[in-house]
Amino acid sequence: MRVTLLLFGPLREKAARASLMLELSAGATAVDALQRAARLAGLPGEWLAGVRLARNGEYCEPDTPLEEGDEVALLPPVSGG
Amino acid sequence: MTRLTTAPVDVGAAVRSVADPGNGATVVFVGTVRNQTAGSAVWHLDYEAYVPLAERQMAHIAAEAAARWAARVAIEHRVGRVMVGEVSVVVAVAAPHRAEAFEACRFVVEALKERVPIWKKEYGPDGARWVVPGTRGSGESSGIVEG
Repeated sequence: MRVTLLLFGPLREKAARASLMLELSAGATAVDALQRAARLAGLPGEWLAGVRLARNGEYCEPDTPLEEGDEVALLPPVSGG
Repeated sequence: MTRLTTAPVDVGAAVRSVADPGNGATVVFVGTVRNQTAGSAVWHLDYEAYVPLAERQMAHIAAEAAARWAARVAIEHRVGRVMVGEVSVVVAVAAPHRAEAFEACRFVVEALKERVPIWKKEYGPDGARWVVPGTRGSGESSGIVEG
């Protein structure tokens, strides 16, 4: 299945891109997408500490199953306000 | 009313949006860009958001506070470049009495800082760094530092 992965903040900057297209196998979960994206974008493990995941604009758990066309976002610790 | 904006934040509009004859107290939090952090001068902050989730979370937080304290809540957060002294966020809360207005406003500000997917990068003469929550200037010039 194809999913779009969005990067923000320091992750976006480190990867030098704001989004990736991923081809994942059936049954892939949000954390699978994170791990694939980290490898493709050259994001070291320590950069993923504290990263939260979102699926289609809602926070989700790492083991959330994905579907064709999903949008997964990697969200570093937030600093708004 | 909750929204993101790339334009200067209109504090007066936020206050007016929560006005209601039944409310006797309005509490307003205005967040502005500070000219220094941990001894380093700051020129401006650049704010970035995951817009659909940020808008959703702001609406949830406002609805939660409105229900819990019988209040009216407005939140406006700016994204993009915000210069020193400019407003990055306003939270306006109106309630019948001041105790609820103060509590609800505090709740909204803290929830916003914890739950809304917005990130800020500080720029100054010492360089630029992504702000890491829970630290005060202990981050490096790039990258995520757990502190």
